[in-house]
Amino acid sequence: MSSLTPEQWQALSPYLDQALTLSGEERSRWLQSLRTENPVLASQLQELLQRDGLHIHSVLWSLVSNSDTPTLVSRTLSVQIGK
Amino acid sequence: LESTLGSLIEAAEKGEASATEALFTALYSELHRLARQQLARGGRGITLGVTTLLHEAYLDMAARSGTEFPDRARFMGYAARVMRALIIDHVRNRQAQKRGGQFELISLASDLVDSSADERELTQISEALDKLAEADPEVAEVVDLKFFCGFSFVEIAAMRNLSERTVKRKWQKARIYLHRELNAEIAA
Repeated sequence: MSSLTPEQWQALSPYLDQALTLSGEERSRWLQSLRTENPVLASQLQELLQRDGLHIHSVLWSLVSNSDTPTLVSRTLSVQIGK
Repeated sequence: LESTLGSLIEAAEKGEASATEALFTALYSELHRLARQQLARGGRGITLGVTTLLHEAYLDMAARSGTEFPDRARFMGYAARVMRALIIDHVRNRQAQKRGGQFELISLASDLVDSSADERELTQISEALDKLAEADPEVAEVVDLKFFCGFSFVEIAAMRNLSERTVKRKWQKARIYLHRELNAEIAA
């Protein structure tokens, strides 16, 4: 599996947007319909959508769970700059 | 101070260089005050990380003369990227030090990143985020604001003038992209 190029991602992105607004069953039907028109695109989207909700990365979430630092920063800036 | 910051942003928008500098100064002062409050409450050493992180971010941003922040959202997006870069630099320097390298350590507190964090993985995340920023800047910015600045979806939506649902979808897309990219790196 190779990295997606920016062009590949940009081509997939609007379809991904559409898919993510659909519920599980609707999404399956939509993908099925897309598969008849463009099987390669449907296959790529299915592969991406399978990653939705999966555990992303231990470090990412360990940092999120230890996010005292950014939270304090954001709260402060939010109060001071925004309002 | 609150009203001063509002007027400073307006002045910075008009291109007044001194206003940008004053804005950083005001933010830094206020964050420093909050850090001291946290210490007074018996906060852990990570609060020191807040101060040093902000200090480094402040120095970095203040040094870039001519940088303009026409609105709060762009200021925050920029600040988030600077902080991300600082955290990643800090991790990389620690890694270099462990290898016996001769790199000078920057002054971020070592407790900014949990000791259990795998530095190689964090570097991979940073590189994947850079790729995401190239492919989809808006999605990458949501990650910076949420992950590295700790904003909620509601706050990001307000900043970006988007619906919360849209911001959540961008976050989902970012997760999907990063999950794929990180697995591609591992497989490579």
